[in-house]
Order: sequence, then structure tokens, then C-alpha cells
Amino acid sequence: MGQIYRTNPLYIKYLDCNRSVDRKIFFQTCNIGIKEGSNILSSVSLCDFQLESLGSSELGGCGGSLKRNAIVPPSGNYVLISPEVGQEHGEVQMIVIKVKYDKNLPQEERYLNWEYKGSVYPISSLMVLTGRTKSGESWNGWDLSSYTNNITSPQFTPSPFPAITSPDLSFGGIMFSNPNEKYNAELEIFIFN
Amino acid sequence: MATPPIVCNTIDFEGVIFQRCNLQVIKGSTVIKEMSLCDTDITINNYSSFIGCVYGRSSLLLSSEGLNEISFIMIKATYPASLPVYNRFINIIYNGKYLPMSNLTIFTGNPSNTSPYLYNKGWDLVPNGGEIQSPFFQEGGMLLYNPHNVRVNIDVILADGFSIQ
Repeated sequence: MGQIYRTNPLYIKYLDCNRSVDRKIFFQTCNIGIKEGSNILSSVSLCDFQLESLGSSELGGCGGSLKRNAIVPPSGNYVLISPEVGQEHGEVQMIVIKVKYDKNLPQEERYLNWEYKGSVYPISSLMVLTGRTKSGESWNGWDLSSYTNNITSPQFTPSPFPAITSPDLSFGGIMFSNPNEKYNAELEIFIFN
Repeated sequence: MATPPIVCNTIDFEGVIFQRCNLQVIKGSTVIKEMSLCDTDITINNYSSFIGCVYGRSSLLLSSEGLNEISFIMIKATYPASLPVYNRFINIIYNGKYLPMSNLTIFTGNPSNTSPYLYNKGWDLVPNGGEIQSPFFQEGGMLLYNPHNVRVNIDVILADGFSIQ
């Protein structure tokens, strides 16, 4: 007779029998929503989503797009700039970031910080930023023009954490920082203008 | 006598769309670039979703009542066709900063579930002290500001991670 498995209550607490009822964010058939098992709890259609290129005939500027992969080293950072896709002032209309972590990194430590124009925000696995650009002038896009670490006179109150390293809010770029001391984080980057 | 084929003089759309769970840059029927979001796998706990609008020259406070520090924010904005394309944007006001947005914003975070609680790993949508009049919301709270004279429709999903232990 083969081994007989038993449902010893001592071990039941370690079993994850309830995976199917986790609530998850999903993308499916151009919808984004929340599902619990097979039940869709909430859904928003993105089927009508259209973001016009600055290079389209209606807007008459110079558009572009790029994809890129980057590694954020442990306790290190990666500065995202993209003057090649931005308009004359470095602004772009869309930034999508996907983050992948080492499988050994505990769930609660799966996050990065990103700094833009002197403020710091969190990201765990996904970020979609959109804006509008205009040809020849700063408008309402995301500024991915050059970034510098040449600290001159930052005056921030209250002091944000992690410390700001971009000295001048006129500089563009997004700096991603990895607070983990052991593992890389991998960014999949999509930029569009 | 045969009639000539009808040629539709449509202008090819050039921009980004969602095709299934992929984000695609297209020019007419040609896919120029693609990024898959099919592998999105974000576990959440409690959530709130609503459809509403931001009136012209007005702001809307994103309420996270009942939720902890937020781990997922999705905002979709839809503009009236009468608004010129270059004006199809609103602003997100968070921690005293104006952030731009046109059609879609997704933010994620990983709020602390440990003790001591670590702030700034998630998104804080509670205006500290409840002072909604605070002009810049430096201490939490997120506003959607519509600088135009026409109404902008929005779809919002807010969700938190697992409960604080």
C-alpha cells in the first residue's frame, strides 16, 4: 500500500487552500478590474482608450516611442530620462513601468521609490503615467529631460525620505531607488510621446 | 459599366490603444510597439470603485474611507469631444505637487504590514486632520483638479493591500 496522506490539523494552518478567492487586479479583453476567483467584482473598460501621438497630423509635433529594460541594483538607483522621445522640452505623454523582483524577495519588501521633481512616491509592480504634450512648449507631459545629481541648494520642508538628490525642479527624469540591500529589481519600461 | 471601388478617406489613428491586455502603439493598422500587461498579478484586500465626474474648474477629493494606506490606484478620465486634444488633461494633486494625467493613471505601492509601521510604501489618501481646505494636501489626500470649463468623466478603482498586522 502506498503512503497514506492525512489531514493532520497541525499542518493545515500552513496550507494555502484558499488561493482561488484572492482578490486580484486583472487586465483582460481591454478591461481592467478586480476579480475574486472567477467572479468579477469590478471592471472598467479601456477599450476606448486612445492616446494620440504628438506626431499625428492633428497635433503636428514630433512623437516617438521606446521600450527599454533596466536593472536597479541593491541599494542603488536608476535614472530614467528619454530626451530622444520627448518633445523640445523633454516632455512625454506616457510612461509605463513594470517591476520584477527576485523570487526570494519577501512580498512585503517588493517596492521601489521613484523621485520626480523633488517628491518621492512608491511603486510595487506597475505604474502607468499619462499626460499631454505640445510641440514647442512645456505643457502637461512628464518631463524626462536630463537629470543631474549636482546638488546645489535643495530646500524641502518637511524633509522627504529617501533624501532628494535632484537639486533643481527644472530638471527632468525619474529616479528609481531600490531600498533592498540584497536583490536587484528589473524594470520594463515603455515610453510614448 | 462597373463602378469603381469605394475608397474611404479615413485618417489613420496614430497613438496608443489597448488591444486585449496589451498596450499597443499603432499607426493605422500597423502595430509599431507593444507592451503586455497580461501578466499583471496584484493581490488586493479591500477596494472601492466609482464612476463620477470632475466639474469644470473644480476638484474632487479621492476618498479612501474604510481603506488603509493604498496599494493600487487606477484613474481613467474621459473628455468631451469638444475639448481640443492638447487640452485633454487633468491634474492630480498629491503631497503638494501637481502631476499631469490625460487618459489613464495607475499607481501601485506596498503599504507596510509590519510593526513598526513604515510610511510612504503606499499611497496616503487621507487628508491629515480632515482639512479638505488645505490647498496643497502636503500631508496626505489626493485631489483631481479639472482646469477646463467642461466636465471630465472619471472611473476610479482604489484598493489596499492586506491588513496591518
